Amino acid sequence: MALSGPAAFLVSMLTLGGIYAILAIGLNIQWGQTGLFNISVAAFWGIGAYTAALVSKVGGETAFSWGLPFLWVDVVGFPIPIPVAVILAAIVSGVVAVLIGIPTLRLRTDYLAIASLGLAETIRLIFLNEGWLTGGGTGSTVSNPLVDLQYTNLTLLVITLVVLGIVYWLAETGVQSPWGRALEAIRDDEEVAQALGKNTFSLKMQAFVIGSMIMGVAGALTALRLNYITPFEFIPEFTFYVWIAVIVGGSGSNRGAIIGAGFLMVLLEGPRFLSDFLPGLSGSVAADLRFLLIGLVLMLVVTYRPQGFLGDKQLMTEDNT
Amino acid sequence: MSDEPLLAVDGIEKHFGGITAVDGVEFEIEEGTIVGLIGPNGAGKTTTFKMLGGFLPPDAGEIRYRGTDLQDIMQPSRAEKSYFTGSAALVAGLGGLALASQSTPSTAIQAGAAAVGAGAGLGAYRGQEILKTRHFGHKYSRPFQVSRAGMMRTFQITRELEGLTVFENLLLSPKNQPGENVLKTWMRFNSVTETEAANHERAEEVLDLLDLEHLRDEYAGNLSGGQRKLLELGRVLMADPDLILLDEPVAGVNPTLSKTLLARIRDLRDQGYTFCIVEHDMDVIMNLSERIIVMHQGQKLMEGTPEEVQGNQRVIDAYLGG
Amino acid sequence: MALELQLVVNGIVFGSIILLASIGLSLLYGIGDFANFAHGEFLTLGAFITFAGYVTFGLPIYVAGLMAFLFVGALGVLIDRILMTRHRDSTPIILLILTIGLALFLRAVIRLQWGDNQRTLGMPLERGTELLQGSVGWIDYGIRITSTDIAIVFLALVLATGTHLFLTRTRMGIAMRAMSDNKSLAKVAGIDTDTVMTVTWALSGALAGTGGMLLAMQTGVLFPRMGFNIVLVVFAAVILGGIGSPYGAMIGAYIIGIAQEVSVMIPGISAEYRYAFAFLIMIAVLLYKPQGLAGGRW
Repeated sequence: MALSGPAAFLVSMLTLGGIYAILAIGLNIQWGQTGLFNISVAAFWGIGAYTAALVSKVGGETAFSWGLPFLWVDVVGFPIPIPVAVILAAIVSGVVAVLIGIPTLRLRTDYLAIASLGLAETIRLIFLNEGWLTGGGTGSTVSNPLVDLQYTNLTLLVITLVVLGIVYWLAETGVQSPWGRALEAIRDDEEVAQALGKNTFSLKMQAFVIGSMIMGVAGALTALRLNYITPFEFIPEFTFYVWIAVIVGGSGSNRGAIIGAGFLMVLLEGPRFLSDFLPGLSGSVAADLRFLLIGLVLMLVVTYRPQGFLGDKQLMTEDNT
Repeated sequence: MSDEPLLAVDGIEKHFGGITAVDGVEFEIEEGTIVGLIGPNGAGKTTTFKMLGGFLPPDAGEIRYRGTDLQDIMQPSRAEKSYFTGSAALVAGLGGLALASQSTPSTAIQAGAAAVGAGAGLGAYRGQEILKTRHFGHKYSRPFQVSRAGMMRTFQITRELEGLTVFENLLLSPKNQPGENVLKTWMRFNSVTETEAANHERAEEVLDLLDLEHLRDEYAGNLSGGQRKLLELGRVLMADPDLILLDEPVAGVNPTLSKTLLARIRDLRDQGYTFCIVEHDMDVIMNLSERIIVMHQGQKLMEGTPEEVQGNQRVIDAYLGG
Repeated sequence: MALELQLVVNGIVFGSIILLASIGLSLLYGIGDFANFAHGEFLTLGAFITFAGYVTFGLPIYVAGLMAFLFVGALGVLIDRILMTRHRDSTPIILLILTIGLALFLRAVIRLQWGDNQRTLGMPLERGTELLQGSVGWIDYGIRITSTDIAIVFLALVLATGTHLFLTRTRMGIAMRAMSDNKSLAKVAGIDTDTVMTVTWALSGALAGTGGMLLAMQTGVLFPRMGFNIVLVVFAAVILGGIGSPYGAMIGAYIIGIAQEVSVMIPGISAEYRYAFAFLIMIAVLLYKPQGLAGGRW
């Protein structure tokens, strides 16, 4: 509202980059730390977003009568602060992760990849077909209290950065702890971890659920950013955006995940700038170029630098299956 | 209980397809002894070892550790069972709710359908568990519980966690680390830092004991074969088990180091640890063990002191391919 | 009854379409030891090349299909030579990520070339022939089969038989089977594993290209995501059949095809979830019989 031009663009890009960084940290706990090849990032992202949208929609739009301008969202007539909506998104994502983890976390790496792709597709179908819950293909409005503020986007950016900071601290503390060590052991050799008395299924479940909850949080922020969400915001292809961030940044490194998210933003916005310089380039072509670039970068990185910027070379080059 | 040996193996069998790998083996291991397990290639030693460690469930027979069947040790805990049951009930309940809400707007009927669904999910899960364990003879394979109970194994081909340093490999082992509960870590429980400090101290001791201090921060993937064997022994010591299953502890280790290693094992036995060792080097096994079990073609050929085994014609025949 | 029989017939037709894709995917999975996530894009590409031949150039449909067979097969060779030869010793994880990148790349190329919108193949519509018309009591039964359906099943079976002959009668085919069984042994036995991989890519691509043509013939509409939409079903068929076993994949394709069509009859579950049904079968197989129906045999 109050911002315009390059400043507004910058704020918007930083917010989106922050959301991708949160997603990348979530995936990094699953993949980089524990070796779980999860390609259903978009599913948990979407679950978080829809949860936030649903929570905000129940009840009226009377939040402001409570005089707490930007922290409160209404639910069932009671005001619920945004943090609670974010936490609810995390909890719902976590519960779904538990239910999905029970059958799939016993699977071998490549089977897990296939199964999680199937899962992402199934959840997208649910978003699309269960209109009573999600609004179906037309989507779902988010009653976003931020909209009425003077600095909507700037506030969202601040919230995103605070969440990113918290998530980063949690992930980094976890990784440095004996818990992170045990996860790393599972990644390297699950049977050895078993021989050392680690309940590997339970630990994998913890990593999967915590990672998914973080993705759910990113989903809630996305709902606040978009104000209106449709299933097309969470197609399985977007999962690979997050994978790019993790792989380029370096699997196993949380700082790498943040750097990778920055790189991803360059990759995503690059084609748009290109279309400014090349008048013949239409918007949809720019979008296609974006996917082309993503695919190319994935192939080049795993061929020439599998450990990314800051990653652990062992993870990508050792055979653990 | 007092007359029950530390480990009792009672007629265990294992079949792979049509092949019988282990066929009715039985032996006992007394506390504070070193027992050798030998036999020509394909005798079933490795398979037996896997079954002892809980990595393979036996098709028949029983393995008792301190008088308790391994199968009982490896039962899922009550918490785990209720967690799976609850998940099954939740999924089926949601299914019931979704089905009912498509056909009727009545909240009562929807709630009823959800409850029926939850009950059905709970029943179905419990039912298949009972069916699985009682009628299809399902056996559990959850080696981490065996390890926690105090029986730990090493691997024939050393399997270091290569992405971890030597020091981290050692720190991984100890049981009951509060820091492995991520919530306690995040909430900065004192017990986390205290235990970690104690484990650091112990890991330094073990490094010193095994002469590995100079490799403290080296990645385990960069160690030589002999150093890996040492590290593996160190990892087991960190966990402080009662019974240690060693799979070829000195294979590929240079003679000097191997001598140190064997002396270390004897010291540990004198401190009350119990060992069961699979080894191809006859000198090593004869010098080290108090009792030797000879396996051949999946069966126990004989059991006795090193002297008895050495002079036995059947053992010699087995090794010469008789 | 009318409905059920028709569904089984539809399932056989759909099974025939995924049959070709499944054989190719299973061969590549068994011989190269990785899951090719770009296989769906091979299907899409096959469909669009058929479109280009049939609609753009006005060629007969089967000539266009041959073009798809050849072109996607050649693309397989190209991918192997340019990209995969560097990764002969890479871990399955690296290969997995590579094929994901390849999938995104190919899909973007398809979008750039043919656009985002749906295209129609515009083959002449036909009512189909009524078969087995009659009734028992109050139940009417009857099925309707079009000549396209018959052509699809026939073509799929011909190509499957051709693949079978190739795998059992030619040196190259036997080398492929040997490599699938035991890679290091095959190498020791003097098999040129590098060439075998290239041929596998070519065969896998060519079969998927034809599968894409059949898919386009059956549905009539083409869009850049069409292959990706059914790649999961193809994976389900491969896993059900037993990874690496082309014969298992054949059985798996028909079982999944029929099961998916018949699943429409389950009350309370809408037809949109058909693909999810295949996914459920797949998870169950992975959990309870991960070696699949073929159980590691060929």
